[in-house]
Amino acid sequence: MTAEALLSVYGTIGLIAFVLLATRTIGGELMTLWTMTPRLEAVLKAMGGSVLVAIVAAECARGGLRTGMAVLIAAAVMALSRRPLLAIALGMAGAAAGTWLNL
Amino acid sequence: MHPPPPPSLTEPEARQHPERMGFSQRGILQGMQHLAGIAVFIVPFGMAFGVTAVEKGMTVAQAMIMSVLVFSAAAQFASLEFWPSGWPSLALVLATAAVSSRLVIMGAALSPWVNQVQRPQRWGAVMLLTDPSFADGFQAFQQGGRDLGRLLGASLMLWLAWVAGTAIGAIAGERIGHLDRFGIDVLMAAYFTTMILGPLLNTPDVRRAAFAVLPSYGTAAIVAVAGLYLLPPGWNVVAAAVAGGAVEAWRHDR
Repeated sequence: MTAEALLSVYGTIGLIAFVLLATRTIGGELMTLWTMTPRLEAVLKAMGGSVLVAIVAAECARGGLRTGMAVLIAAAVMALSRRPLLAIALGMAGAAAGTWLNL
Repeated sequence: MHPPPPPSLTEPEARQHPERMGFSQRGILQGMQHLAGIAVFIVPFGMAFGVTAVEKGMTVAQAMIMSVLVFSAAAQFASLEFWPSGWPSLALVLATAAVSSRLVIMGAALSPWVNQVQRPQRWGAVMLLTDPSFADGFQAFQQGGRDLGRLLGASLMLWLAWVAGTAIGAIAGERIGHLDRFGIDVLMAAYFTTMILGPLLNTPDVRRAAFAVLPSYGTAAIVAVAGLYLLPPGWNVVAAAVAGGAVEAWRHDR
């Protein structure tokens, strides 16, 4: 890689790391300025959850039947067992089976 | 002598009980122990990132340094969508902020306890904050836990596993072969699915909670998929977060 390209890679990593540090610390800082209203809390929770939903939905759109099946399996196992590790493991197993079946 | 403080304090109440929260090495070790089990599972997750990053064209060193400094699966995977032309770009920064917005909520939720100590210690406690360590710390503090070291220790354990996994994945990348044989490529989607359902399942009335989030999450899903085809890379997540929040703001109290 050229020196310029290296700078943009490591510079970008630094930038992303800064954003992460900011998001980790800013919640506490904001709470010293404002109090949380139920509405604000609901909106922030909805935004946070929406990001997860967005990523999963996009992955399913890209990965097709196989990914969708894995997500459904993980969701069903999670709903029934309340055990995230089991849900993830079985979802992955479903995807592995999907690969084997050429889905 | 006032009576012992109640287990769960609001921010104003917490400020009146400064003697409550501490930050000790013992707490850190305790946190590490508590999350050691989950940490084992984070290793294949880190491997998934390592392999994917190297596949896209990052070097082993770059992938590892990123995991060390960023420590966020969502942000790191999302950033790969922008590789290489979008490194750096405004869209990348906004997408990073969008996928990390959960951390703002978590920081706010922990603030009644975390804000009781001085700023350097606050930041030390949350600088590696992540979903499982938040969940562990939050319930511990709600039940009367007083040591913020626990939060850092739990996060540290997961961080070690994440970095180790990245290293293994990046170095052994080609030899592991296609990720889809083991279903590792769906690991992030499956993990996030459990994180979406977890809080809903923890409520007293799960059905009611599910119906409450359906408008915002449903909107987010539609916007995310539509944006995948209509918007530049990464912006679909940002748009979905804004849309979901807007729907909730409109829907709340109705």
